[in-house]
Amino acid sequence: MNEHLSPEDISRWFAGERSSDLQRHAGECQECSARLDSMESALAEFRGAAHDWSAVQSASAPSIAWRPPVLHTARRWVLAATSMLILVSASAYWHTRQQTRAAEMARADALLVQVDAEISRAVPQTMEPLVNLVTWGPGPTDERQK
Amino acid sequence: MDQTREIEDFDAVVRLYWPRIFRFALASLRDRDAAESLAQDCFLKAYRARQGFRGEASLSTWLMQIAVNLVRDSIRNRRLRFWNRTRAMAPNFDLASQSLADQHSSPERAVLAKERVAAVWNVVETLSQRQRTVFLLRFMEDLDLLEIAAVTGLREGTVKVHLFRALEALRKRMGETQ
Repeated sequence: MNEHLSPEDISRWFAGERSSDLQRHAGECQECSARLDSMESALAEFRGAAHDWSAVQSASAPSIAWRPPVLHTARRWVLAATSMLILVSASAYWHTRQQTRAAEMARADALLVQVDAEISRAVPQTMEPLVNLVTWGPGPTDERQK
Repeated sequence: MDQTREIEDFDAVVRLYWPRIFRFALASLRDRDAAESLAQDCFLKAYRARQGFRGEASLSTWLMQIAVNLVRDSIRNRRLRFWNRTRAMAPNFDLASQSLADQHSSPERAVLAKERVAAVWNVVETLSQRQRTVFLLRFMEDLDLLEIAAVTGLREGTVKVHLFRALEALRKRMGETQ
């Protein structure tokens, strides 16, 4: 390869495409070697400046705020336990309340039955003497039989 | 040290790899707060997934894989939040370019070097996200093509194509400035 490296050859060189022809020419031709060196030094300067810039930015940062996330895990467990506790308590409270309510209802029902039995009448009031006469209760007929 | 054993001391892993992850995030996002946040996310993800790390890739490659994915997601989200563009920082090489001054004996040469660095940086800004990632991994982090392929999930040939295009843009820009 006797021709100088084309601009694309230079880009190809730094992109990792280095054929044996390119390498041989770069080793023999001072002009092409200088062009490669120029690009190489620009890239090296960029690397150095980028590292310096990053170091300055990193140094002015307060600190590496790395916290082992163990705390997060512990927090997650506490949260889960608390949620479970709340759930269980709520369930127990609801269950107790239901029982209390059922007991109150049963008492109320018993009271109603009692009241009903006390105040209810089997026959209308006007027929009550007749019923007493016929069925039960010591009536005048019974007295006479005795 | 065995990679799978190295990850057991996670504090040491963070100390060792934080600068690299932060630098890549900073150069990609140009926002220090976002870069710090991304680096933390990267290590948190790695910490959570450390049991699954089998050491098939190097720890550095594995962490960089996570960082590249986070940068991609972050850039995608930022596109939706247009006001964030104004927060992007221009690199201040006056503060950071001590190495340029040390490398060059004369102030004139140092100024020229600074201009060259600024030109490279301007080109990096104009690259597509994938080209920029490949370029930064190659020329800032010094990864070889196979490592870049492993980190980005691209084929080696595709990595070369992205690098070639980025370098073409750079070469044209350098031709203009010289």
